[in-house]
Amino acid sequence: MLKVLIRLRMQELMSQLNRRKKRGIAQNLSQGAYAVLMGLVYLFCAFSIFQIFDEIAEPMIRLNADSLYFGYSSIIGFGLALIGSVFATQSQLFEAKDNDTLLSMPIRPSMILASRMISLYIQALLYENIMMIPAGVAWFVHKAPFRVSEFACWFIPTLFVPMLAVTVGIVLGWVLAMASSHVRNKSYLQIGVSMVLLFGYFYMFSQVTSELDGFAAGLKLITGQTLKAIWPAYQYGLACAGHWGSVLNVILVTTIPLVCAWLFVSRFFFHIVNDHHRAKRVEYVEKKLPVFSPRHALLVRERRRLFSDGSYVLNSALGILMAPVFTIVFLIFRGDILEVMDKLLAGVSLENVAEHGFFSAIEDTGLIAVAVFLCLLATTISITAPSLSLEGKTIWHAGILPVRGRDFLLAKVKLHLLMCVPVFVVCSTVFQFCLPGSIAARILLLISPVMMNVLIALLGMVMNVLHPRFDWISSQQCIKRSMPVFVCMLGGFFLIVLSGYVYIQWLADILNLTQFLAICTVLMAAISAGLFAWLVTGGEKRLNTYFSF
Amino acid sequence: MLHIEHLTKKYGDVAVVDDLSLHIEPGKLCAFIGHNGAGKTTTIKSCCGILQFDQGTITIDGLSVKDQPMEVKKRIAYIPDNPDLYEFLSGIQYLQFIADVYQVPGGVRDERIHRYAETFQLTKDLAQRISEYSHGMKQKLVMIAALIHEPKLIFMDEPFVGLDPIASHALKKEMRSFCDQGGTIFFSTHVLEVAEKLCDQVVIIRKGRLAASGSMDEVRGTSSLEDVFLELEGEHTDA
Repeated sequence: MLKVLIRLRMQELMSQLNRRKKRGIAQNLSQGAYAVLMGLVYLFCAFSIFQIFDEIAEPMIRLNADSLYFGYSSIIGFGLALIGSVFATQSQLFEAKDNDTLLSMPIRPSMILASRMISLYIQALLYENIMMIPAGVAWFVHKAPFRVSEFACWFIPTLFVPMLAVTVGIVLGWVLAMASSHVRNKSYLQIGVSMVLLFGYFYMFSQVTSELDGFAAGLKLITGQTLKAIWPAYQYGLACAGHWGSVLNVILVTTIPLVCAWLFVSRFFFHIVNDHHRAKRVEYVEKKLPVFSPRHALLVRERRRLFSDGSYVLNSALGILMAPVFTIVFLIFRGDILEVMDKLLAGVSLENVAEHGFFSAIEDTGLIAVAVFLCLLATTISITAPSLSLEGKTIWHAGILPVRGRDFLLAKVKLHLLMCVPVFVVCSTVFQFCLPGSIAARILLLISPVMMNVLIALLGMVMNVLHPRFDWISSQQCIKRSMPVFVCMLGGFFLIVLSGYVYIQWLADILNLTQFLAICTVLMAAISAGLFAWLVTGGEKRLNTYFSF
Repeated sequence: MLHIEHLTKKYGDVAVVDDLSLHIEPGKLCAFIGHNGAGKTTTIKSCCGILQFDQGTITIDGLSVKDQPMEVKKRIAYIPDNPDLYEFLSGIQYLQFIADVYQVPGGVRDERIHRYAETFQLTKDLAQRISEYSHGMKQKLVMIAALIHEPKLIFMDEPFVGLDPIASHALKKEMRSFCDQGGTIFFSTHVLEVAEKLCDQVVIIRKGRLAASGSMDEVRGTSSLEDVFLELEGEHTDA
C-alpha cells in the first residue's frame, strides 16, 4: 500500500510536468529558466554558508575540535530544517485536501502518514543540507588526507538528522493544528509562531557562529558543556569525529522518536483531521453595514486576503517588518555599525576611503548606503507577485463583476504600496536625523526606496499577469514557489547589485554617489511608468482571457 | 431581454457552441437543457462576459456584451455551477463586497440582505468564514449575492445542485417571484421535472446547436419534456 501511495505522489508531480509540456516551447523555456534560477539560488546560499565554515574549519582542525565543529553545525542545520518543514508538516499531514478521500478508502492511516512523511523528510533534508553540506565540504577540504571511513561517519548521521526535524515538526504541527481549530483567525497564530521560530533561529545562529569563531581565533575556550547538554547534537559531533558508537546513537535517537510520533499520530489521525474542521461558531448579529466605493471594496478584499493567510504575510511582507527593525537596531548600535561598515568597505578602490573611512570620505555616503539598503529590503516584499494566482478558482468574479480589469489589478498594486510606502517613509525620515548629508541625498533617501517599492509592486503584478497559475492545490505553491515571486525578488536584488557593480567599475570617476542614485531613481520611475502603462492596457486584455478558468 | 444571434465558440478546432441563436423575452423563466458537454455552460459564460466568443452577437437589454460589457454586467447576475467563493471572507463580508461593487445604497442593502438571508435560512451563519460553509450554504450565499443588486437578468448554471429540499423549494419560489415582477432567468438544469413545472420557456441544445426552443407548451406538445428531450437525443443517435 505504501508503494501505491508513494506512486500517487509521483503521479501528481508527473501530471504537473505533463501539463507544462502542453503549454508550448516559450512556457517550457521559462519554466526551465525558473528551475535553473532556483538551483542557482540554492547554490548561492550554500556557497555563502560555505564561506563562513571555510573560515572556521581550518583552525578548528588544528585544534582537533571535530566534535565541537560538527555538533554546533548540526544545531544550526536542525533549526533550518525545522523552520522549513514545520508549517509544511501542518498543511501536508493534517490539513491535506485529500485526507477525506484517502480515509474513505481501505487504507490504514499509518500508510497515508508514512507516504507523506517520506516527502517531508526529503524537504527537511534539502533545508538541512543548505547548512550541513557546506559545513562538511569546508571540513574535508581542509582535512587532508581524505578517508572514506571519516566521510561515512559524517555522511550517515547527516542523513538521519532531518528525521529529528520531521519528528519535532510533527509534534509542533499537531499542536498548531489543535490550537488552530480553537482560534478564529489562525493566521495570527501562524505569524506569531513563525516570528518566534525565526528570531530564535537567528539568535541561535549568531550565538553558535560567534562562539565557534571566537574559539577558532583562540579568543574563547569552549568546554563543550553547552553542547553536551544538547545530547543528540553532541552525539552527532562525536559521530562525525569518527566514533561509530555515536553513529549508532544518532541513528537511534533520530529514528525511535520518529517511529513513536508516526504511531501516535496514526492512532489519532481521524480525530486530528476531523477536529481541525470544528471551528468555534459565531452567530451573526445584524447591523448596519459600511458602504465603500467599488475600488475601495476591491482594496479591502485584497487586505482581507493578505491577513487571512499567515504564510502570505510571512513570505511576502516580511521586509515591511524588517525595515523598522533595521532602523531601531541602527539607532541603538549606530556607532558600532558605522565603525564596522568603515572597516568592511575600507578595501573599496575609491579615493580616500582607506584613509578616512567610508562614511566620512565621500559626501552623502551614509544616506546613500541606507537608501540602497532600504531598496534591497523593498525587493524582499512580494505582495503583488502571487496575488493574481491566489484568485484560483474564484477568478470568475473578475469577469462577472462590473469593475474594469485594470481596477481589479491596480487594487493589488495599491495594497502593496499602502503596506510598504508609509513604513519606508517613516524609516527614511528617522535616518534623516541620524546621518549627515546634502539636501539632494536626503530627498533621494526618501524617494528612491519608495520608487523601488513601486517598481517591485508593478513588476510583481505584471509577472503574475503574464504567468498566473490558478490550479494550485496549496496556496503556498503561489506564495513560495511561483516564478513571478522568484523573478520579482531576485530581479530587484540583481538590479541593485548590477547597478553597484556598474558604478564602481565605470562611473565612479564621472558621477558621485548622489548623482548616480538620482539617475537610478529616474530609471526606476521610467520602468515603473512602462510597467503601469502595460498593466492598464495589455494586462487588462490578458486578464480578460483568464475569467473562464 | 436576451438575444443571442449565431453564437459560435471554439476550443481549438472544435466548435463547442455552433451557430446558436435564441431570444428570451423579459419576465420569462427559461430552462436551458442539454446533455453533458452540450455547450450549456459555455453559452452562459459567453452571455455573462466571462468567456470571449468567436462569432455572433449577444445583446442583453439592448446592450452588446462585447461592446458594452460594464453596462451589461450591472444588469445581470451569474450563479456558477460550482460556488467557488472568497473563502477568506465571512458570508457577510462577501455580501458587503458584492453590494459595494454594484453600488447598492446602504439602507437598501441591509434590507435586502436581511430579506434574502431569511428566505434561504442563512442569517445566523453570515458571520462564519466561507471556508467553513458546506456546498449548500455556499450555493445559498451566491444566490443572495446574485439577488442583492436586483438584476434584470440572472444566469444560473445548475442552481439546484447541492441544495437541501427547503432551500430548493425557497429558490423555486424566489425564481418564480423574480420573473413575475418582470425579471428574467435563464438557467441550465438536468432536472427536467423542475423545468417542466417551473418554466415558461425552454431551450434544448445538442452538441452546441439549437435542437428546440419555444414556450413550454410549444416544445413539449402533448407529451412530457423528458419524452421530447429523449426523442431529440434519440433521433440524432439514430442518424
